[in-house]
Amino acid sequence: MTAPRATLVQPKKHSLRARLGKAWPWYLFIAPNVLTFLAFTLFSWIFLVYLSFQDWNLLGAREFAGLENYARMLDDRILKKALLNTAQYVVMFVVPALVVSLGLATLVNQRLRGMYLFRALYYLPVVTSIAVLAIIWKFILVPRPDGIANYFLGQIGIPPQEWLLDIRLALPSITVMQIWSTMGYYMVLWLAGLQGIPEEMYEAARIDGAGRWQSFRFVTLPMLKPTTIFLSLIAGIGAFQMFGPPYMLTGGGPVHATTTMVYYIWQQAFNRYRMGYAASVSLLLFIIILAASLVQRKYMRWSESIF
Amino acid sequence: MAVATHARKQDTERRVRSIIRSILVYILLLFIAVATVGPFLVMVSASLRPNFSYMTFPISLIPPDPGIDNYIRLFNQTAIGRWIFNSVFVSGTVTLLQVITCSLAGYAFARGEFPGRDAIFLIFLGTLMIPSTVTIVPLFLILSRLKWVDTYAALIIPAATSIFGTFLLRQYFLSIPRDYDEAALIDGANKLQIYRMVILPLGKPALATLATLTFLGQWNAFLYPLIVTTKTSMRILTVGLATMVVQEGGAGVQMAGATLTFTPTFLIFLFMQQYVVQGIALSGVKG
Repeated sequence: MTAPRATLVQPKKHSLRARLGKAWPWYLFIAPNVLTFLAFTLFSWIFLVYLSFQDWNLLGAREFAGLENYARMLDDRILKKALLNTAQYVVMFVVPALVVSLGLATLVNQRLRGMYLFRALYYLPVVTSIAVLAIIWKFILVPRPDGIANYFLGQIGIPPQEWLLDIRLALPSITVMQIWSTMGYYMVLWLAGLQGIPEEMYEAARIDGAGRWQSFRFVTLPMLKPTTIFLSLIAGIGAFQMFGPPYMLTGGGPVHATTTMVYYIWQQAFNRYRMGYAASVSLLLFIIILAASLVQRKYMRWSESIF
Repeated sequence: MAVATHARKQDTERRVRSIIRSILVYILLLFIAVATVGPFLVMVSASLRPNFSYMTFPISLIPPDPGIDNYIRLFNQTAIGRWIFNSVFVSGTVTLLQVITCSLAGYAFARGEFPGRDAIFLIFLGTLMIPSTVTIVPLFLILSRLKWVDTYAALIIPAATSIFGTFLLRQYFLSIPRDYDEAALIDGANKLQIYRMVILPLGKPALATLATLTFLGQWNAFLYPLIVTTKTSMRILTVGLATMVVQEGGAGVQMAGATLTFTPTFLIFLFMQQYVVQGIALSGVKG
């Protein structure tokens, strides 16, 4: 057994050429990934920065613009509105989505029959395309007195609303829809966190006389701190990139009320063909997301499988 | 004697309380299930109503006069057949390619010893969390320079590899004991043979997870296929559904289209549920 094993040990000190000579097949194995990365990802990034200094119109002019795009961002009132809308959406979305999904996770984490089924049912919207979800919600939020959403409001004595046509309600309506459609996703990630808490900690709390609520408050919540930080950051990063619902449901309106950053980038690039300007807005969005990602990187971890 | 009766009484009381609590929990669970699944039932029901225009409440889930008129209108008025083909072809091809490219790269990063391995892996890792949304504008210009707009190449090739998938598989391959590799090596197997005869068979659960997540992700993709296609005939199902113009029976036709788009992902989820959920829990990246 020892003799063949010895031949497996790589000789330590070899020239780079000798090491490459032995290792070259590995480069073939990673070649597809490396090449598409270079051609599409890395090159896109370099091109993005270059574009942001260009006056690049898909149909007309292409010339060096210096800081013109950046100067234009400073007095772009719709961009300011888009930034505000995005910030507002991130705030309205992240905290409720995480609270609701943590509630769901604690509910389905109990030792009762049929929990697998409920988990699956709650997860259904997550595997469904935004195109499908938006069509369904368009009909839930139909601005008629006998629409579904208005029916439920009527039950608690609130007059019918215009929902997506209402400048104040359009963004909150989209937020509710987004919480509904993503809560199953965060539920699964919360569950991974919940199931990572050692059972002994609950036993110890029980021995100390803690009730259900107290053990949630003093064992579960503190133990979930890393999960909480991690989830609020991925939820935030996702929320910064919201695009589908305004595209499908409101066209960014009414009066820019649902124009998000990505919707605005899409509109500038593919409706008005201002590629250079869209690139500089993209860079701005990237800087905002990067700030969040850097914090998140610190807390990123690989959780165990939970089902 | 009195103490024993008292204890028994307390015990029954606790049991009754626990049963009542379970019942309340189930009622709550059912209520939430209606809220998450109900809209999908309404969608299917509405798609089967020939004269559907908008939804009112209370809803009767069984259509009063069921019929497939909306589906017929959908096929007559839109290119839905082509969109279904495009979605199946693109999602299927991308999934197959990703499983191949990511498993090869994952194997190299898990087992290979070659100069630059750790540096390349770290660069990959660093870009894992950077959102691709930010680069849609330059990416579109690159593809349009390549004359790839409105081609399958644009829909497939940039998605044929995945850093997330490489990472997912590398992690799993690391957990396969090296003894298997070494046994194969002693039998005279080369790197490719070890990949085919050891890594792929033992890595099946991870490969299934990646395949499921990739297929769902491609099927449901929206922003990217929206910008790299402009012709009706090159749309995938989700984008076709979002951009279709219908002359007659619009609302019902939309519901029929939504039902058709939804059904395959629903079936995949039904049968591959454990892989979907495992993958999500493992990564926290996709969504």
